[in-house]
Amino acid sequence: LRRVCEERLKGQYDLEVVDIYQRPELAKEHQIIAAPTLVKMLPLPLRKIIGDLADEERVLAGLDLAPKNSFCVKK
Amino acid sequence: MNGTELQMEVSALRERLREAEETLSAIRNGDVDAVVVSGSDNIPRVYTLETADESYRLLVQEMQEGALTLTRAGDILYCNQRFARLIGGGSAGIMGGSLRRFLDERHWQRVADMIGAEDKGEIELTGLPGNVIPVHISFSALRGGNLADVEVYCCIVTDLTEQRRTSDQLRAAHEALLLQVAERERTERLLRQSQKMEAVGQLTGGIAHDFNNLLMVITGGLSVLDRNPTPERRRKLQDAMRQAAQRGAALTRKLLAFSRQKELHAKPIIIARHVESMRELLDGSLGGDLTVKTEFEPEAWAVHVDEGELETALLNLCVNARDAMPNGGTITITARNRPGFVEYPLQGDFVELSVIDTGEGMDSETVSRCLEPFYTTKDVGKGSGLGLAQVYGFVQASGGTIQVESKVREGTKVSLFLPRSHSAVTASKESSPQVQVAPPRCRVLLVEDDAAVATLTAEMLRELGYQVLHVGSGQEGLNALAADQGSIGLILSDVMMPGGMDGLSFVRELRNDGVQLPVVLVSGYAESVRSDAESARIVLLAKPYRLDELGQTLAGVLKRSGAGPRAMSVS
Repeated sequence: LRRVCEERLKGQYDLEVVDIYQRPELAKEHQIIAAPTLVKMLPLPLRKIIGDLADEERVLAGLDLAPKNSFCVKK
Repeated sequence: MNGTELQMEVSALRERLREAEETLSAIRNGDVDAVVVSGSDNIPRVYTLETADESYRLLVQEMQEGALTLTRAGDILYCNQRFARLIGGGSAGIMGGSLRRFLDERHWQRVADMIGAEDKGEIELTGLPGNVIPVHISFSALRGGNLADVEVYCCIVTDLTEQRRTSDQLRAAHEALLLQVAERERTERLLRQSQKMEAVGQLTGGIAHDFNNLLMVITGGLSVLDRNPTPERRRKLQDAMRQAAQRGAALTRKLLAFSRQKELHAKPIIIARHVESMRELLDGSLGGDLTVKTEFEPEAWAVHVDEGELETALLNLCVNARDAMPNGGTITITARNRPGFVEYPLQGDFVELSVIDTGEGMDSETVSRCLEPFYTTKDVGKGSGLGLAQVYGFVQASGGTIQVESKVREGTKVSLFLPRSHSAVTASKESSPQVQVAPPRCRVLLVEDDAAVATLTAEMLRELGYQVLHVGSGQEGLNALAADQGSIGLILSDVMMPGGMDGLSFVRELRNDGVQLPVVLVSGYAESVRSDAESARIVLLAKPYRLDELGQTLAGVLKRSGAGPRAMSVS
């Protein structure tokens, strides 16, 4: 995921990795029900990609291939 | 709700549906590692799926340490494969049972205490086949997570069998090494002994020849004296015999100095003054077509050495120089200061005293061996091989060092580096005056087991004006004193005597009996009894001694002793 972000969104993204074992309250806040989950917070609309994040095409589709704005990713 | 709002809501619902389907699909496909569920007090719980923690499980299973979880009572909840292999069973048969199965009573008591105390230590496990396994075991409570309310302990077991074996091997190797060291020391002792024997063998060739010549002069002289020669011949013979005896004494002095058992009395000495006072001696003993030159630095420091040994060393060096110049030449004696001289391990201010000749010189092989005792290039009877060995022994004992430089047909330079003395120079002892000691005329108890020596000593004592009572042992001496009516004023006793009572124990017996008479002990090997004699405040006289030395010693002892006047009043 980090590689994809570096290749496609270099300097324009903000990626935060959260361990839900350590921060279960964040899982509740963002209504996460499985791990791993990638949450695109910005640009709207909010989008979740659940499961295997090694599938590059799927990840890019989930991110709408929108390199303009920064966004936050949650696991 | 208008058409637009309806469209937006449909779109949002579609998105939620898509998300729900995607989640389900990911779970079905095994693409997720954990699911989040609602927990108590509104905090979500994370349930890990087996795929996610498989690597941790493998880690625990295959790690090189045995790992257990167990209750405080010692019931095993889980054991890894390493522990099962260590014990020699399957993990299924171990889990659920008690750890106690694998411990004897004594070790179980310790382990039971260790669990609750979260302690660690070395114990012995008993494997299923009955074998004993030394292990290090440590316990710690598992806290947090789902186990918050349960008392579960983690136990890590390290097999020490290999470590013990290694340390046993190390210990065995160490012991073997100690044995080798002992063997080597023994061999070295043997080697030293055999070197000594070799030296003694060479000694027999060199010294014995010299000694026989000396004895020849004395025995031959005595047999001629028996025939009552003319007074003039008698005097000549006596002179020759006296010289022979003196040479014999010098030879034994050299031997003792070589074995470093002769006492050294170091004191500050100015070399220049000393050599000048030896000038006559050197000229006399060197003779021939030799020129002796001296070059001394005017401000040469004093050195801290034994006066007599320095004399002997210089004589030896000069004699060597003379022998290296059979057709004459020049011997140069120099002394110069060497401030800050360094030759490991020596360091400091030294005075370099050199004896330089213009003789035959030595090749490198000879130079490398010239300090060895009994090594000589001179003909049998001409040299004992002890000259340079004495010089070497003297320099070593004085805390200095020696350097030998030589070139064949050019000459030899022997340099002694002697440590500088920082004490004031005391006046050199004058040579013994030949004045006769005034006869004190008291009676001397002579304790001497050797009849010949006793006869001679008694004769010398009478010559000095003393009366003599001779006894052959310490016991006889005690008896004589017990019977004596106060006529004995002084005791002269040998040190080495057979019969279980040597000179020192004889004196101790005397003192125990309350006899406070002055005592002089005579010994051919004064060093061995020096400290004992000093602590008992007894005067020692070294053999061989001359008549005047005997007279002075006895007079001195009588003078110092309160017994002197009383004894003198008796005769």
